[in-house]
Amino acid sequence: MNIDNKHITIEVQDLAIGYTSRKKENIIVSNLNFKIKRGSFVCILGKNGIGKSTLLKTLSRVQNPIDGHVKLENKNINTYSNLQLAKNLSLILTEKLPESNLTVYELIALGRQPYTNWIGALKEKDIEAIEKSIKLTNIAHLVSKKYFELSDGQFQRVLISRALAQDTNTIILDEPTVHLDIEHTLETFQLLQKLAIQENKTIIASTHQIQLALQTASEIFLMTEKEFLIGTPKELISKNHMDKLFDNESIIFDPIKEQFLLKKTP
Amino acid sequence: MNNLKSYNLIFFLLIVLLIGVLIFNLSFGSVSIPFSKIVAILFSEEEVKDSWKTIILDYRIPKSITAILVGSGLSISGLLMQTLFRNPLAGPFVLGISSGASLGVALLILGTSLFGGLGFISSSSFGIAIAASIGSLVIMSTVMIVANSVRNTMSILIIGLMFGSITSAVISILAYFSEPEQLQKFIFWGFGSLGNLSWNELSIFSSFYLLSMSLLAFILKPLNSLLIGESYAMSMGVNIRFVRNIMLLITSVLTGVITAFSGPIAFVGLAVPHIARLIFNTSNHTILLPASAILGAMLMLIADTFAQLPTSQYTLPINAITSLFGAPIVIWLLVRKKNLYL
Repeated sequence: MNIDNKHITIEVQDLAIGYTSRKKENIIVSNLNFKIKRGSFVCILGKNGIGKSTLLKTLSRVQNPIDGHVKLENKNINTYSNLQLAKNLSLILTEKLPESNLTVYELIALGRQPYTNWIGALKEKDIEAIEKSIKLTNIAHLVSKKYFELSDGQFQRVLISRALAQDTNTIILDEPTVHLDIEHTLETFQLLQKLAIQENKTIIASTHQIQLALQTASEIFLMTEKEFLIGTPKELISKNHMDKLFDNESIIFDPIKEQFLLKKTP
Repeated sequence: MNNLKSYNLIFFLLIVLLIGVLIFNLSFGSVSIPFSKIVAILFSEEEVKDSWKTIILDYRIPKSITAILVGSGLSISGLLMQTLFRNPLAGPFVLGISSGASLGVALLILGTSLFGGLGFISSSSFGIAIAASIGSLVIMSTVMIVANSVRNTMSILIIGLMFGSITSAVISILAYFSEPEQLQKFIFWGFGSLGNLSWNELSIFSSFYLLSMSLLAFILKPLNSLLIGESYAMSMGVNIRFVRNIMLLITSVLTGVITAFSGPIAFVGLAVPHIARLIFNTSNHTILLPASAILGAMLMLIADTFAQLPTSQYTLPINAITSLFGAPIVIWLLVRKKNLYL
């Protein structure tokens, strides 16, 4: 099984996540064990407040685990220097960017910072990486605009493009489609799936778009108050796990239509 | 990138303009000295009146250099603060950092009569520089700690204003209990002045200045990633704590030393970075830092030329001039652009 390990991007052992406040530990989930293969598109589903963001923060070392450890490319994530980590893992967050005069190109070029010299000068290799990420995300027509001129959908593509320019195996996204309309939401999921398959990126995203996640993701993490379930969309559906997502009994999952339905009130 | 060419052209023009303003600044003062004689004093062995020589070499040139250091230093300080607090209205004066420096100086000049025994330090300009730097560092760190728990940009400004009020209150109390001569000394310092610096003082000033400026090399790249927020900067390998501490050090020392030697000067730090953004239409710090430095130096030289009231023997307080210039610029920027960007 050693050969297999080469293709594992993230491995989690006996992980307990949560946060400490006033010296009190609040454990959200414990005893997590999973492996994520290179090139997977993982969607994390669960209610608000269930700990999706905490899990993503722990996987990206923004936050320390309460117990256990996270391995990135077969190495404990805590042994990485800031710079090494930046070359292996990039983030796309939900927080708003402060308003500035940055152009789209400059914003994407920032992704090259882990590779550039002290003044941030772009070499040929950096420019190649930027152009490639612009092409992959289809935003060539936007590069000279200021980023505050963009629509939410365009902006999300730019953020993904910046993460691609950072040239990491893993990209972690926190609710990437939260501000988007249906069309841009669909496009974003399509893009993420494409990046996982074509570019062999490991993509981990938290989302509320259950149907799209089931259609595009290669693996689903289902977080409920009682359980942490992992499986391919097909497995989760066939084992009737999807129903566990909500404790409300009037919401049921229809395995044939692959979507949640409201039970008709008699 | 054709942008680069136009940036270089603007920079070239700005430097030419700066030299022009510098010559203008050197040529005017209470005593009128012909331009040809100024050139002669600077570059040739030609015999010129001794009094003129003294005025140019020991008064006007140190004053011009001070203006350049003060203007560029405050502008860079302001730019760093705006990026650090992610707030386009931040600046050394607005956030109470200049007041912190004033408090340091007040404690030194006025406090000696209360505490005694420190008189020998208060007379040295080195002591004043240190006191002002410590004062601004204390206020700056406090504002930063408080600002960390409130993300709202408006609240950060109001907190800065409140710290400004607290320090002025403490200064008033100190003033109330101090001797008239010391009070007079402090009030004159508070008017702000670019002149009166000996070459010796100027060398202390410029070594503090160069020291803090050289620290910029460490944070040039991280500054740009801070434009998209601390979390993103961190995800790109930036050591936020280190960068923040360096920025803290640069801004406090710059503001402190400048305030120590030329009094609290308002609005330059707030307005100049925005003028630089307006001219270059960019947020890139590799452009904005030198641009703000040049524009700030230019603005201070112009303000100083006005303060001299050419051909009259009076010199207006420089602080009043920069406020008269700066406040309308900020109002105009806010009205015109509706929204200020970083």
